[in-house]
Amino acid sequence: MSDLHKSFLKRIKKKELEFGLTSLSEDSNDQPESIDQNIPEVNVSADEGNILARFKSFKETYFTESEVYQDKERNLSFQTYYRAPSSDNTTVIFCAHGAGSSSMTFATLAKQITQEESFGIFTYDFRGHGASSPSTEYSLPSLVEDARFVITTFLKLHPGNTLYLLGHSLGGAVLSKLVNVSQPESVHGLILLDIVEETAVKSLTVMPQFIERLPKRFPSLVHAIDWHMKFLLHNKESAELSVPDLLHLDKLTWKADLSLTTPYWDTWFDGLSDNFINFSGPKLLLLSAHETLDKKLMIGQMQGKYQLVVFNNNQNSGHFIHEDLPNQTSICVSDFIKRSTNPQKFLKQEGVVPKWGGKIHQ
Amino acid sequence: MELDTDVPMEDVEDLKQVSTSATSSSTSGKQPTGITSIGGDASVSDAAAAAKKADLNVSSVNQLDQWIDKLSQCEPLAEADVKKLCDMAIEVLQFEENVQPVQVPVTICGDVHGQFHDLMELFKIGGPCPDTNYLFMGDYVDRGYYSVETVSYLVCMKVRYPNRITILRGNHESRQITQVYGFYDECLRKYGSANVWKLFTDLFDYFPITALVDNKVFCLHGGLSPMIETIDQVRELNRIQEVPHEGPMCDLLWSDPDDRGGWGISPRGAGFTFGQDISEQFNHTNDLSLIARAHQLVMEGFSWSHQESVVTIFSAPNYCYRCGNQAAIMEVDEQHNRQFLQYDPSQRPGEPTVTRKTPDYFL
Repeated sequence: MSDLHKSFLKRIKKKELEFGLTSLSEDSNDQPESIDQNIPEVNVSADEGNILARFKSFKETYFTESEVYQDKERNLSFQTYYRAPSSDNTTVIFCAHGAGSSSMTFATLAKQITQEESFGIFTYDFRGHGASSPSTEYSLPSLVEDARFVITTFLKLHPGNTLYLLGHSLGGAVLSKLVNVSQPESVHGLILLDIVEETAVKSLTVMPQFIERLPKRFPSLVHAIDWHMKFLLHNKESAELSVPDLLHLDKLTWKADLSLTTPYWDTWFDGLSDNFINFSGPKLLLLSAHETLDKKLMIGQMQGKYQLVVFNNNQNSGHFIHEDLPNQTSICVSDFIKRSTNPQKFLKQEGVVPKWGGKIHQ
Repeated sequence: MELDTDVPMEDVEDLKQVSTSATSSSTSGKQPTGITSIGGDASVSDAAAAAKKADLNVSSVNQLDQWIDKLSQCEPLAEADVKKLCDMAIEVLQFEENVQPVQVPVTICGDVHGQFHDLMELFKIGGPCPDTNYLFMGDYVDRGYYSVETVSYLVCMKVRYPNRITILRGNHESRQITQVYGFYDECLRKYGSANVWKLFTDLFDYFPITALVDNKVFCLHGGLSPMIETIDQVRELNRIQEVPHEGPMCDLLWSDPDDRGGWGISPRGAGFTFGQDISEQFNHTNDLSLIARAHQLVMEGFSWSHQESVVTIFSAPNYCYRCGNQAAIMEVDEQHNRQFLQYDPSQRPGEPTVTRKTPDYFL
């Protein structure tokens, strides 16, 4: 598809959205292309140059700060990325990625959100991931302490901000545990992307095979992106921003060694559903393809304790829902935050003015 | 031909139906004083409805009885029959009101969600329809394995005994929700196409959204709306449409009572939460004794809120085959006494197990 065609489709989509005609398909996503192992070398390097340039430019220009937070007590360092909210807003979405991923998994979602809204975006690389310090210890309590250290440091540097925690997969389990142990005062809401305790625990049994199947290295960055498009991702624009961050770009080998995490898996999702349900603030659970709630989430949902959104879009979305459907994810997340932060204002925008019974509280 | 002659109490609609039916013999001598208590302002549509209902001729009755027999065995109807059924149902439901009047005695039921065998258990516990009058407050489809059979059965009963059973709309009687929570997939699986899903979801638009039992008990799926202060304001809504994302009709199908006073935004993302002050004011303004609603799973099958100004009724035991809850229905007798009947899941062999595809990657 040509760029012109893409931008045309985007415009159509935008119009549809303006008219409220949200279809379930995402804009600008080409179908995953089949992997052509015989891509001419010349094109590969040319493409690769462009991809790398866009990736670097995004990292350098999109974020207003990329700091390394040093935890001297535990001798750990965390690569963080921050784009401050616009002057009239104090809401920051604090994002935590899943195992084997990195901060840049949130690249297209972040772009999409801040294009429409004035929220700030913060994200950091987990230990042993991205540009944070290497590790061999990945137990849930350690990952929760990491998150707490990062949040505390962030709030010291940027006091007065309101945080909405957004975690994908393991990141969601970490953030749910964190608010369960003790909830930082600035945390107003919790958003989980495609993570359900029972499903996660079940799927752990097939993970060793998955890790075994992982290529040790890729012949080129283009191959790496194509591999991800074949097995994990459905949106090339997202893949081109997230995949380069997963690899040592000189050797094209993985930065994160998932096999080191195996001994800790049984701790990762334990108590996740309870932790999520018991969080007292507003909460949103966003699932990719099928509604796969476990008993606790089912009861909680049927008692109206949280918002559940299921993108029933098997063709164009997988586990990395925020990468695959950044536009829809952005709309859900933004509406959830606006509604929770200032219901009166949000409802007014939607044309709802209460006729009786007084004001609408949070 | 006689309709419902075995029914001990004939209501006004039955009387009209009998009087306009050419083949009828006079069945009961119900005094016409009941007419005014039903709501005289709707006499035109009542008359039209009665005229329409008179169309239920012998062959229709036989047909419906056959379908009900088939469905009682938990066998889905053929697609062509679903089409006929939905056409017949629209003829009945389009003349019902946004606030459908219902008389006592009546047994009020909550969510069923495709748990067909538990629905059969419900009729065992509460007594067979039409001997017992029923009012269902929505959510017939999704999540359970037999949404098709459940909704087909209830719609059949509605067409067969229009004055004995009232079926309101729940938030799951919607095109959008059913595409996510199972009814759409079930239709595809059982019929090989989405035609039956389309027929039913088009029919859902005609379901009444609230009912008023003897002018005293206001029944609806979800709860109150900050846009609706009086029951007359419900009557003004145009309900024949997909359940909207916001606004009064959405709220009636989505809201929940809350321990906090006043209005709150709903954690569900649609509708509102309403406190005791709101319920009491609404009941006072509209001269009601009770708001009966469903929508929320309650472990004992029913649950009082707001010092008995609101009751939640949930009629799907062990919801979604895993939640471990009891179910309940509420009988309201002629003297407006209320009695709750609780029940557990029906015993049945070999519930199909859900096979869920394990994701390739989940870290």
